[in-house]
Amino acid sequence: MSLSSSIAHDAHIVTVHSPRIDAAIAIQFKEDMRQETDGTPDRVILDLSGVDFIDSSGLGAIVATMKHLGDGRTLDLAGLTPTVEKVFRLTGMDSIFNLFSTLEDATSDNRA
Amino acid sequence: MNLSTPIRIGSGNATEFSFAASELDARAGIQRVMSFVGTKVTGPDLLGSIEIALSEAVNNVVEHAYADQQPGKVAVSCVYLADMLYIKLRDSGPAFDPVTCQEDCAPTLDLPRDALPEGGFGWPLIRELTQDVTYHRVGGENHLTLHFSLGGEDFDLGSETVFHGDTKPPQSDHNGA
Repeated sequence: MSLSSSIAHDAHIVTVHSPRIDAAIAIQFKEDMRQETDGTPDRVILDLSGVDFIDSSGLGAIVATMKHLGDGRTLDLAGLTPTVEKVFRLTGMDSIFNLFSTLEDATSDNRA
Repeated sequence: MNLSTPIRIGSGNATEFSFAASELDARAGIQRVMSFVGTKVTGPDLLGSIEIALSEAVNNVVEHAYADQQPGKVAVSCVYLADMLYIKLRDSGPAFDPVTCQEDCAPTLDLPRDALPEGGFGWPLIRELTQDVTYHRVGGENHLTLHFSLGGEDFDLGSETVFHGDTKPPQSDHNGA
């Protein structure tokens, strides 16, 4: 699982460099996200603009990541591609996370 | 009719794909099936829906059908009929009838953050994204068929496509569940 991090506008931006977050990679993704977000700013923005496809295992791993961050920290999602957005919408998870069309929107806090 | 007969479309192109029911093999298998489906279905929105539903169905086999034994095979076949696409999955695991999961089986999200569900979304997604789902237990195999309406515009059957063998749609009667 390839992730990279940067800090901007007091937020920790984690970018996913994998076209799929699926059952084959979900556990690794969850573990890598825990390590990546340990001790970083309270607001984490997950940049999904490079992800073409997610399944329910990947969705579960993102939910687990958000839960692991704990109270007082947030996980916002940016740059959802159409199929990824569809999974969030159909499961109702679009009401649980703050979704932003682009990373720029997320860092300037314009809701999608 | 014999649902286990491989269905062929076009000039001898087998449309059945078979792969081991492991997560990595499943990923490659799903992508092979989608490459084939993508030659017939052109709308990206519809292709995305098909890939999500197919993935959830295959993942279910990987996670449940061979849970206590060496992973067996999953066979996926595709048949186009009129404006419908039928994708059938076969596995040799224990009987498992997902049709018992009805429309209201989606997990509730009306919960505190630390209690939010991390799973249970697969069947609700399949239900949302397909027109119908049928299941039959046939000769020690689970046969699960996902029905997709291609709706015209997104669908390009192509002029050379001729059906050989089984051209009837899968049976639509549920298994009493």
